[in-house]
Amino acid sequence: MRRLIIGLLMLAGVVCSAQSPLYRGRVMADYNFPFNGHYYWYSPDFQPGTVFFNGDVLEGAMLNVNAHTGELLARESRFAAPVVVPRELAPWFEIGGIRYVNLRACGIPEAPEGYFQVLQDQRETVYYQRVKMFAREPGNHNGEHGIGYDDPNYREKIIAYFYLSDRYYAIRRGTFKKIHPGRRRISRLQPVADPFSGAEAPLAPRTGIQAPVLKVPGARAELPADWFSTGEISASRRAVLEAIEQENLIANYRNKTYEIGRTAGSGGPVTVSGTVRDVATGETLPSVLVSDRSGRIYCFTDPDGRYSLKLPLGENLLSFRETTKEDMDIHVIVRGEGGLDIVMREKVTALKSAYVTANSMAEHRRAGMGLETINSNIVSHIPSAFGEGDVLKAVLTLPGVKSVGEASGGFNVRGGSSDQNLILLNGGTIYNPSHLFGIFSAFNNDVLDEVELYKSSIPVRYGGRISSVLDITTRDGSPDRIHGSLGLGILTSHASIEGPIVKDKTTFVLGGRTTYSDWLLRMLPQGSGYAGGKASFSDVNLGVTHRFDERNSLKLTGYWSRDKFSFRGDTTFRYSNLDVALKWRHKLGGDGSLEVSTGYDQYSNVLDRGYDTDVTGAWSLSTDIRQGFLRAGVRQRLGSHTLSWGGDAVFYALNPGKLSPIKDALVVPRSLAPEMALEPAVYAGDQWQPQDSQFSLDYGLRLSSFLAFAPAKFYGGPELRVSGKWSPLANLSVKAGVNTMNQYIHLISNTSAISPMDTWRLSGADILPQKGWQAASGIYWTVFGNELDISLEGYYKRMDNYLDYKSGAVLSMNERLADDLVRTRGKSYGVELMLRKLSGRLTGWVSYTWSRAFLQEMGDRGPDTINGGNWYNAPYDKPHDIKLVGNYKFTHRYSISFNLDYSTGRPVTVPVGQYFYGNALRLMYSGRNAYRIPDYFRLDLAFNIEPGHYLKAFTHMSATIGCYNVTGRRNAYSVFYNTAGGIGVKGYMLSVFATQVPYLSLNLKF
Amino acid sequence: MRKTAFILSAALLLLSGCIYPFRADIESESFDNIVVSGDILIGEPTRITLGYVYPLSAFPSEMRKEYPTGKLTIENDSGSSWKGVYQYRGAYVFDTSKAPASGKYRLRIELDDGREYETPWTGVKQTPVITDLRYAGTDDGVGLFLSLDGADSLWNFRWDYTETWEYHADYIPAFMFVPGLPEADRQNPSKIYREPDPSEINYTCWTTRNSIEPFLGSAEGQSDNRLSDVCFMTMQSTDIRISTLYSILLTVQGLSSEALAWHRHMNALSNETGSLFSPTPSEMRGNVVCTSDGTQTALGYVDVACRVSKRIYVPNTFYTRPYDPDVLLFFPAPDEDGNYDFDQEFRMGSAPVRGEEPSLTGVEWGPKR
Repeated sequence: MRRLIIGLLMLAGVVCSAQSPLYRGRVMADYNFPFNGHYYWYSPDFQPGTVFFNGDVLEGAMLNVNAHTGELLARESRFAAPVVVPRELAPWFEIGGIRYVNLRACGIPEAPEGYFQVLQDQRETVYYQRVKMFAREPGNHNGEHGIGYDDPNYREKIIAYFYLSDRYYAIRRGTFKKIHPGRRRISRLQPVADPFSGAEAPLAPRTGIQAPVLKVPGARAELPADWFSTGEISASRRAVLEAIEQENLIANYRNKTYEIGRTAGSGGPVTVSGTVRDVATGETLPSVLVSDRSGRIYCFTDPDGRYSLKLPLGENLLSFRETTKEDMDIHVIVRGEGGLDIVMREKVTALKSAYVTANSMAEHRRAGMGLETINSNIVSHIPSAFGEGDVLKAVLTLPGVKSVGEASGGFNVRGGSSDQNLILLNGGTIYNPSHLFGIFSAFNNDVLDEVELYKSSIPVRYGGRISSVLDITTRDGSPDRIHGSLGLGILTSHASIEGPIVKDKTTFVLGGRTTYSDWLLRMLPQGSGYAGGKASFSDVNLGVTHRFDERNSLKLTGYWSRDKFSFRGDTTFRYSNLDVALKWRHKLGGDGSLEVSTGYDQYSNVLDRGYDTDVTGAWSLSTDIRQGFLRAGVRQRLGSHTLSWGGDAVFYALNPGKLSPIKDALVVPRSLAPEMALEPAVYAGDQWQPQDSQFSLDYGLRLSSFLAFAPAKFYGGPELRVSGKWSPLANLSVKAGVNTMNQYIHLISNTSAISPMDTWRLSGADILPQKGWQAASGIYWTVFGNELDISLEGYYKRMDNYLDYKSGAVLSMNERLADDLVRTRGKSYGVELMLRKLSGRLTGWVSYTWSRAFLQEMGDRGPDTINGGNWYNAPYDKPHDIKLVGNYKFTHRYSISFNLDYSTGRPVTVPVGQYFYGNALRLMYSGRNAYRIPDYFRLDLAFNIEPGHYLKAFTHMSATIGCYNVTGRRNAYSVFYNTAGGIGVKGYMLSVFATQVPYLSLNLKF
Repeated sequence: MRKTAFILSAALLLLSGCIYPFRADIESESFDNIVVSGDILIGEPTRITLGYVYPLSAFPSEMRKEYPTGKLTIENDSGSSWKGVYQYRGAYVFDTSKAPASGKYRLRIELDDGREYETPWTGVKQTPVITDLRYAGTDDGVGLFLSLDGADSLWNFRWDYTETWEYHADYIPAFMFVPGLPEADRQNPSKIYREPDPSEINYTCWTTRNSIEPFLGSAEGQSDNRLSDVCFMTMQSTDIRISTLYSILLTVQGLSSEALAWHRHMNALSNETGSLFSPTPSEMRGNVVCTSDGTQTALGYVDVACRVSKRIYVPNTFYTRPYDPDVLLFFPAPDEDGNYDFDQEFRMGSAPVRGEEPSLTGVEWGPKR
């Protein structure tokens, strides 16, 4: 269409424009490969000018100069494509008052090709030519295995760019020769008014120097014979041809056809398998989508990067898609069973588009829905409060994920509470995913590989929580060489190092973070009472991977975190996470894999009170959870079925509370009875993907059980996971699914956010397991050539036995805790609409969610029943939610990220009445969560400077300058009232980030 | 624990957050709940006050106009009963001075509109022992410290106080000003100033004030039921209460665990909501039950207790005068025409303080006290 419009405009130009012959030349050939910079003389903007064309002076033409080829470009309108004006037809032209002359055509045949400006100073006349040189920067070339390496024509990605080369010439002793004027002299050079008339330059009267008079060539009688042909590439553009040829070389492996299998067999499909690795590090790549030309035969690579497809004999096209890697399409001729190892290259640019493209295509392959995938690159590009790339904050930008407010730990998925999310780090459970009150998440972005959030179709291998699963994995270390990174922020710094221990066998990755936030506390005024406060955290991640052979690998991971804060000298809070896991992966015969993992997780917290101020009453309260787990799972492909089965068991030992005196306090040591339980489960599932079918089905059953000790109590039940997909078109899918879940561990809290005072309790005789189910369906449509992804998902969810609390409940050190709790049932429903722009300079997503979440007390306690036994708003019920996350790339290195978040204010319980009680004015509160805080709105901006593309450079520095809450809106975290000493009721609003929070973070990779 | 939550979140707030005044768009509701405040006191007269719940927009003065009325009775499980006598502002007084400390008591309320309420039968809490009530100097003034012993079986305490302090006027006025004179006399010193009558000179003053919220203390979780040196009040050295003589009458009573939880909850609802880790506020029912209508609720917790009291005096040893009163004195200035507008100065809160004799320019004025 665009070409048609251009054509019409050009045709119109012929009829009505005096310059019409000018625009009849050939259209400039595209530089159809990526490069940095531009090739124009001054700027890419076309300006009105005058051109001496074929003997006529044409005025008002839109002109520019291609300084790479030395050609004059003319454009009839801003919609028209530029055409090349042959130099022999246009000996001179003028743009912006500057005259450009083709010296060869004007009496100086020994001059180089191209146009010159004629300048002059006191000494002589100087001919100035601006040349844009084309250059390429080759990257590394690693001699590893896989396509891309074995191919003799293959070269690593080459970065192309134009750079400026100014050239000056003068006629000295009758010879036209290149000169090298200094900077001061160049600044004094003035353009000659008219090099054809012999008029003097402005400086000439003082010097008496005259410019040589150039000869104006006469008009040609006829235009060249090929004048009206378009699209030809000038033979003189050798450099461009060379560049295009170079690009062809880069793309060469795409054009080559690979034969798989030696025997020219016949009949049914054969297995093609192989391993996908990263080109730079040699790491195997899991979760790469491998599909055939039809898109109906596909699989994902396993954790060892292995894939296996049943392909029909004959020609095919294998597509490899991964979030951060360049898309790869390989032409193959399948002659029999065989292998094809692939290396994929890091997508140096357009990270977001890479992510979304891969995600988008994967969405049409999976039968499951509600899966959101985020990698560390995405995380680091989303603006956050203090510039620290934060997984949990990134998760909150996804539709259906909400939090009760800023600086609150935890998140809520589709109307579920924060304790209903299973947060796994390398298989270990993280019970408190926050640092520093929830400002930072507990996860170090440096070592993260991938984060998967299952909102709806939860795979059968997961269990134990009824709302969602957030599965976080850390990277394997680089097998190639030692890499590392350093990061500095306002409040935190982080570092990581990784590399081989035994070349190609054993690798490690080690990352750590710490904070220096005490300076912020020290800035508090002395009178605040908090000036002596301290707050600190640190965490360490370690991963060691050993590859015994192609079939066996072992991975050891460890995570430790610590938080400590104290204020006013008499209260200190400490909590820590510890997770250690060992995972063995084994490739089974045929096309299957076995994964066995075991580990130990611990979450403990300690609260010390009054050690400086209360001699008799100072105490220390500690709680902890310790759990050991063992998991084993098999995944086996049989024809169109991919079966998975296995089992897992978690052993819990929970200390619900231990109170002890500090120093000589009179507090009696007291402990609540420890809780112990075993949660074993077995599961089996199948992904059924019939050959060449528009339908696919994921279904499975998980039998979960829970055995509490002392007193003994057994719970259990089946959990059903079913989801199906219908893809009438390659880019259109419709899905639906149902899943049921059980949860046997509960967060006991009477605050809206996860707070450091919350404790966990196991199901037992008094506390029943939570049960939930969710039905969801959605439609997914990828349009505009995979550029725009549209999805619409709806869900309905119910749960039973969620624990709320009675008014005045005492939740810590309560031996009869169950008496202070109430069981509630919950329901939530909603619709999530999401649009994702997949490529181009602007990438990102916008989503709108409408959802509701309600709770209702189970049972009747008469007038004490919460809200009279009616449904009431869950604390995280925010009906309207709009999220916009985007990234606009100015160049390959510079981009701007933005994040916009709007949601309805969360429900709160507020006072509605007042009364005197004794001498005090007291408040009477509304029904639970009957009112709402004001709506939430926040806009964040960040300017990102990526490392240069010099791949051979030892270090790569990136920086982000950003601002959180650009509009400075005072978003309410909560509203509250007090009676101001009994003289009246005053309302207040608490805002956590009540102003703009600028930040700067620097990251160095080596 | 709740306090800890408050401290933590207050600190977080100071990092980057702020608190702003806020007016919620709360629907105006009408309430028919009654409020019952006061405890059944054995060995002294009992005072029970009835009240209504008002919308948030009501001013305190509006809330003192109407009170529920009816018949109030305190009953003993031995069959004795005491009828309440209406005093004023919803208060009923019962003569329980000679009521026995044994047995159980309850309060019955029959409102004039037909609604009936009662509290459960409740035993008399044991009387705590005030082992020490003392004052001691602090870094910046004086603190009051209380030590309690719960005797045999008392673990939770509540104390209230009545404080009275004597203080002195900064000046003894030399003259009294006569406002509102005819125009002709307003520049006449002998008219505008007169000698004060001795009854008009209030050099010594006293103020009495009751505590607003009950102070709560608990020894639960400790090895014995004593509270030692609990600092429940501090006064800065410049506090006028200790400028001459300060006296506090402390009254202590025992509390049941339920009553303690209820009072703590009430204190928290009024003062400790809204911070990041604060418990979500919720209404907690007391022990006053409507027997005539199951849907009606009453607010209040009526406990039964024997109180004990103790008075101490704090001298002005710790007092530092915050300013020199002389710096506030001034000579009234004439206007452009040379006239003095003493009426205006008087209206603005000043009065003549010092002077040898009445004159337009020779009398120093200062703030009225």
